[in-house]
Amino acid sequence: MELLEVKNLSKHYKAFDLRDISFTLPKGYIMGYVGPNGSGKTTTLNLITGILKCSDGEVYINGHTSKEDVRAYREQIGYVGDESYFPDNFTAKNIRKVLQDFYTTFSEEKFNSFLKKWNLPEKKQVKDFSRGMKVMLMFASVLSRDTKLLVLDEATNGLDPVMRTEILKLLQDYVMDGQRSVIFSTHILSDLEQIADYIYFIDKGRTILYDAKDEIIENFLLVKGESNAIPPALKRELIGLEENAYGFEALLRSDKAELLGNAFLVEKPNIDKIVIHFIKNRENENRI
Amino acid sequence: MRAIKYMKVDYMLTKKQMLILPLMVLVSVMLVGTSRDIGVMMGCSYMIFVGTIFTTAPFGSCHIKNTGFLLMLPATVADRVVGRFLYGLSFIAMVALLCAAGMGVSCLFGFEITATMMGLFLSNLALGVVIVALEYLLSYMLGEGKDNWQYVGNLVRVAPGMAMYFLFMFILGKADRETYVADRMAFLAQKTLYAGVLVLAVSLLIMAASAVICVKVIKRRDYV
Repeated sequence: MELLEVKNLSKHYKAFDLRDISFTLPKGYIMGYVGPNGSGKTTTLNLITGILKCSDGEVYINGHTSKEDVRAYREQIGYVGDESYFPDNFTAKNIRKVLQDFYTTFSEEKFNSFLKKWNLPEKKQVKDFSRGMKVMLMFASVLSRDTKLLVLDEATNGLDPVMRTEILKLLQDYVMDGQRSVIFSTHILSDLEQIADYIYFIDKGRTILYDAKDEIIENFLLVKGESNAIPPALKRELIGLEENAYGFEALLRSDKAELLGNAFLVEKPNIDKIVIHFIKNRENENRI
Repeated sequence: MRAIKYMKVDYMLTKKQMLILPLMVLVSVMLVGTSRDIGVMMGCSYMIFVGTIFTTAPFGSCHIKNTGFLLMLPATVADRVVGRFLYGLSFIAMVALLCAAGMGVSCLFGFEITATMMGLFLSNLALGVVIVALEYLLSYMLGEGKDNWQYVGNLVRVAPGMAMYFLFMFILGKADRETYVADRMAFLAQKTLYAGVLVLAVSLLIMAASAVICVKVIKRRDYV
């Protein structure tokens, strides 16, 4: 059963177009939403949360759009961004009061336990919190109610490794019951390596890759060797060819492996390498 | 119901200004003492002026980046806008109650509150409500919490209320010093109170119309 379904989502700006983004995320899974700066990650996530209005397309959560019932739609979403989205002069106490007033599933007990666990002061204003504290307060506010979809926009950026590890563990626990899902945009691709089940990779508002993480890793090979040893037939198939004084490195689709012969070193790429070579590939294309 | 919750959120956002409200009350009490004839009205007019500034405070209280939490609450655009208007109205109502209490106390000290004065007070209050309605409309059109609000916002918040305050000071001054205006007011005295009530009712309708337009403005724009 799909928890999140994004259909032909588009957003047109004067200087940027997000075009035809489509994917599904089943219940109980985590999707990594990746791409370089300015690729449209935050725009997509804002369209999913409903903060932005789309030019075309639809977003369904548990089969319903926000147009059908905006209150029920938003009750299901928990959002954590890269910056605090709380009013600066709010305290944790204010936030608890607002959550209590607006969300039917809010648990004061859970919220208080998160405050205690993460040493978050109740009466201090959010503007005086450290970045880590702000992120944890955002997590406290979303994990203390019964959300179905967690939308994370670069939430782990700038956090120390201990805190990041704790958050990754939280996310895995969150989807454990098989009823909830996470869509997670980050620049720290090693985080995705650890927890993501699906990867959606966009660049300049267009879909580059979308599949199960393991499938993506299976579908590509990382090829290294001497630049002058690359036959033309192979060169045409290489993705994101990067050459330096010591040789080259590029991606190759696994089904083109027969072009390799024995002259090259072949490795299984990680997500980081795949993303880097696809970005490099676009740069190479633009240069041509 | 959620509109009332949003109104409560606006009071949370602007709680600091509530701390300086007693200071404003003190200034208006001092104004009462400046003239036996029109001092009470001067004090009330000042409080209404303060009201027009304070009611727009939620628009400037946080940057758009820090409003995500409030924008994502499970509520409709109408809930949010009506909540903001309820905040404005409740604040103006609080100002009106403070003025009424002030008038009551003034009467105990021998000041006379005539029907003309009451009519003027209600008209001043009505103008205050209209100013708030227009300021809200302009604020939503500019985009609440956006950077352009920083530049235009202070002007929008202070200038109309200040113009209203000086206009009423001028009218009251004329009434105090020049008998022909006072005579004219006396001539109208019987009708002034009814006119004031009517003007206030009209101003509330303008406020409601402004809320409806604001909802439409937000629904048409790019973000919620």
